[in-house]
Amino acid sequence: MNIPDELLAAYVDGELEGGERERIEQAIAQDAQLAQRVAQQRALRDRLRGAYSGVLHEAVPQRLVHAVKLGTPTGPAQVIDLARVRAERTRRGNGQRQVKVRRYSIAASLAVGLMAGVLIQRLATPGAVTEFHDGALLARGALAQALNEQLASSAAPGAAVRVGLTFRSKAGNYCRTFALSGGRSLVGLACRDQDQWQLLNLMAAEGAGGAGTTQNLRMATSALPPALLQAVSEHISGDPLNAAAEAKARSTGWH
Amino acid sequence: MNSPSDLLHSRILELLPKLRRFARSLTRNPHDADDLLQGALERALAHLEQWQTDTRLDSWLYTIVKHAWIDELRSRARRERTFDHQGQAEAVADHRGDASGTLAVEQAMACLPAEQRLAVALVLIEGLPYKEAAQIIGVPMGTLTSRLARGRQALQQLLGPGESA
Repeated sequence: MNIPDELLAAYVDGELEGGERERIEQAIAQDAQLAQRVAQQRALRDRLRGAYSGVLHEAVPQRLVHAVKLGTPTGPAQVIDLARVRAERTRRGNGQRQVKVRRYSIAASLAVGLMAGVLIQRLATPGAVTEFHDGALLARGALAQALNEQLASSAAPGAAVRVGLTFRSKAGNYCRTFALSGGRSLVGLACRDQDQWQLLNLMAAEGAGGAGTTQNLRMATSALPPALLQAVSEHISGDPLNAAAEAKARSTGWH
Repeated sequence: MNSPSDLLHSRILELLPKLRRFARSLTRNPHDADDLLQGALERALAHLEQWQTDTRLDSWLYTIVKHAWIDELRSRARRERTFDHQGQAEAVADHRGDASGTLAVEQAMACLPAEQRLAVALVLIEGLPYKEAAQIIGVPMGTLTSRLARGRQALQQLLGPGESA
């Protein structure tokens, strides 16, 4: 019986269904040469699998585990400059966009430091807390709500978002630092822009103790990553708001 | 907090050994293979939202590794216009002391054209159904089966007929 190589291969690869498979099996039983061809195919398959089976039992290098867990190698908070990305977007975008984007890309060296993976993943989940809009990264969902409503002293234990420092920027608008808990803690700085909270910085919180380092942001600014502290000091005009001033700013809708 | 994304992370972690095997069957050097996989994982994690939950997670990740590998091949092709053939002499030298025949298999795989190597890696080594493999490579089933047939034939010739490990 003449059976083409591809059909025989499909049989060896387990691709054939009931009737066809039985037909081949009958043919093999009656034809030693065919049986030999099948054995060769099986041997090749086994040999290939055998040659590459060792890696399955090796310890997976930490850098690969980290790539999955963090989206980036461990170490100090990694800051990537999104200003260039935005400048590129702006250049390609229309004029209307340019006006809006320029407000911050010049006034503030926008550095969104983060593991892009973690952020994008948050974007994709139902509880997304950020959204890219006209080249700006805006707070959404629980993050926007916390920035609007939460006072530094009032975060519920276990809250997903904790607001830290509140201050007025040199441009006169309100800015607030925040911490997001979750699989991986993120901290960031958001400033009020056209009735939205625009994220100027977002970065991985250093150290493992997300909750411990973020609980008392108002006092323990030393727990903030240096890159975020630097961003705060670049933007801040005067001192951070005290509790009374913070509550007052909230009551006026952060204007 | 156990969010759906944490679960997804653990599922990807569980797939790492298989993904390493796939990367290694594409690129001979283990270090290069892990580099390739690391780059692919970074891409994958940056685009987790593109994974459709009703499709196989492993297939999606294989696809990203494949893309990363093809990109790497292209940039290597550009580099090798100036530096060539150093690797081949090393490859032959590698053969000494290859008691298990593993290196012979690796070298034979490295001799296959990229498209055949992909088909062989996905079906014969990773054990995927033809349909999944065809989708990952982005070709019709008929194209996959003919690449697979040519890959098998070349490997039989390179490794010797009927020889077992």
